[in-house]
Amino acid sequence: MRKNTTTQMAALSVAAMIGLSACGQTPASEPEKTSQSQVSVESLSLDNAWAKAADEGMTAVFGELKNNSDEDITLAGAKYDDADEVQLHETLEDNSGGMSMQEKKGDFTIPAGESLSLKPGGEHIMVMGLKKPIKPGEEISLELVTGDDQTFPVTAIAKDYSGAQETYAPGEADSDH
Amino acid sequence: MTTEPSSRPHGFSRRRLIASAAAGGTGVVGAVAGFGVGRGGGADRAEAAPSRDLSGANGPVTEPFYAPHQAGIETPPQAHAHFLALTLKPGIKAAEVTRWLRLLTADAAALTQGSGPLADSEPELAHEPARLTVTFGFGPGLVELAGEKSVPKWLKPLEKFPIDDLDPERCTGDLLLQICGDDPLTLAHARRMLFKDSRNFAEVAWQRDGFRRSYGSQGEGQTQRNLFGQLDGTANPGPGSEDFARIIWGQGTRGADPVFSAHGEPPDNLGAHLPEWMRGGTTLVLRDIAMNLDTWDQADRPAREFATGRTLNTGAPLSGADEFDVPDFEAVDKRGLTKISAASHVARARDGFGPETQIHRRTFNYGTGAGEEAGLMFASFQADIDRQFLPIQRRLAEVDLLNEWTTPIGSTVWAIPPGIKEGEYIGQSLFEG
Repeated sequence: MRKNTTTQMAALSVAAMIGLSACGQTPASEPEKTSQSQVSVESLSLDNAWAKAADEGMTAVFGELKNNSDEDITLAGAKYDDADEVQLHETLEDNSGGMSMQEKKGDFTIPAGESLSLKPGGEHIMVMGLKKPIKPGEEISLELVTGDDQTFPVTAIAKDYSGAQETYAPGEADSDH
Repeated sequence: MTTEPSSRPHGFSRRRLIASAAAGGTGVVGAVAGFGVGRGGGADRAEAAPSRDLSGANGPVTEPFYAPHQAGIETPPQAHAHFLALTLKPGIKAAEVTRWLRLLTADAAALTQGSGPLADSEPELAHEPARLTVTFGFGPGLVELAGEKSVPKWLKPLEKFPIDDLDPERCTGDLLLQICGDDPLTLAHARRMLFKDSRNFAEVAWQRDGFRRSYGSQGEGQTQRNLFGQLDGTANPGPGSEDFARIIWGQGTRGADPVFSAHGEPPDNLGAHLPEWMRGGTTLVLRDIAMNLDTWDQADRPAREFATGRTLNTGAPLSGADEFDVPDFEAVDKRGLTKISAASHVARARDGFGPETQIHRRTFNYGTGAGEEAGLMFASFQADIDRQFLPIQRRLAEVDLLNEWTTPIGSTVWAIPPGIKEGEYIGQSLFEG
């Protein structure tokens, strides 16, 4: 599986904000990191985060998942209050030449100081069973959950987007692409 | 040659009116009057051998987005413009509008700086900004969502002028996006992104694509020509000038030793009437002026110049020799007739007006195809529509020889909110002021 990890120097934090709770990503770094509060960047951030607006059913969240620490971080899952379930997904080619999404086997690992691009047609955070609509322009709040059970609050802006369909097969006449 | 414009009443000659094309109606097409600030370019060019620009120098050029004033007003006009007017869908309230404006602000902030905004499926199309600007204008329907008291009394359709032949569908809109840039592909993409983030909130009311000379065809600061071949915008205040600050932004810079044009010193409080949420903004009157190229063809050059009051080649007033010579409405020819007809466009638009009666015209030509529509998107920016735009417009509507060939078919009035700082959205001063 292609990981598409990139090193990013400075991330534009248009939509992604990280809470300021004391949650260093590893015990080793905890004492120092948690003592400085307000200005320090969280260990894990989702920069340029956006979600596909949806009235019901499922949707997805994208952005630059950035490991700002000097330790590898694994993303094990995410939480969103207004949905039944959140999964980490990847998109794979199917046998018919189309693409389909499926749940990622295992975690997303982001090496120290690097980032993982979550994007349509690639890895993404899948939100299923929406309990209420996500409207265009709305800012939604999620929590990223790491392999060692730490949580990082993030926000994402909802955009009117007709890609990122659950399945995409060329030639489907009625689909909205 | 450079005399101040006359301030005494000036009757116009019936003989000349009869001798020339029929008059009547409105239209602000054509050169208004002459003075130059910050002009230049073109002078050195004639000596160099023509050569193509192979470096793509203009592609990466950006105009600032975060600034006290919105871009696309004082910005030297780009080669292309899309005017996109949108009407709010039923049931849209302030909460939805602020979500919309946040989306559009984020889009404009990214696109104008050469980046694809969030959820851009074709970010590569954003990578040559070529001076892209996105200017937001608010119509009364949008402003009143922030409270009826927020709507200035001038933010309404202009009075009806005698030769208006307005298409009601070109006279509506709650939000105007004036998207300008030197690269039409970048522009098309920007419009697409802004449209995608608008379609949940609004529908297209009307739209027009406009153009001027291509980037690089002429040096900076050259007055553009309209499809009648006239130089168009000679009298504009220069970007960055004290005149511009007063006439468009409505407030003097309070700099030492300000320099003013031959029009004289404009008041420095033309913007004092603007509501608090518009401080740093201005007003826009946008007129869609159809130009009848077929009947213009029937007018020979002397008749065209007579109607305009200027020569077609240099744009000089008929009393002068250079584009920026101040028109002398007293100068007479050997027959004793004024060189500039009192019914000409330049005389009607300028003679006798005080220094406050100035505007900034940022015009773009349009033509939809051979034998089809042709005209001018006449974007007039000024701090005070009542004191600056309407006196000129009323007089041109009364008599202007150019009215023979021009017909306003669309007319809208917009409040231009101020620019913003990073983290804010366009219109924040209205909805959260």
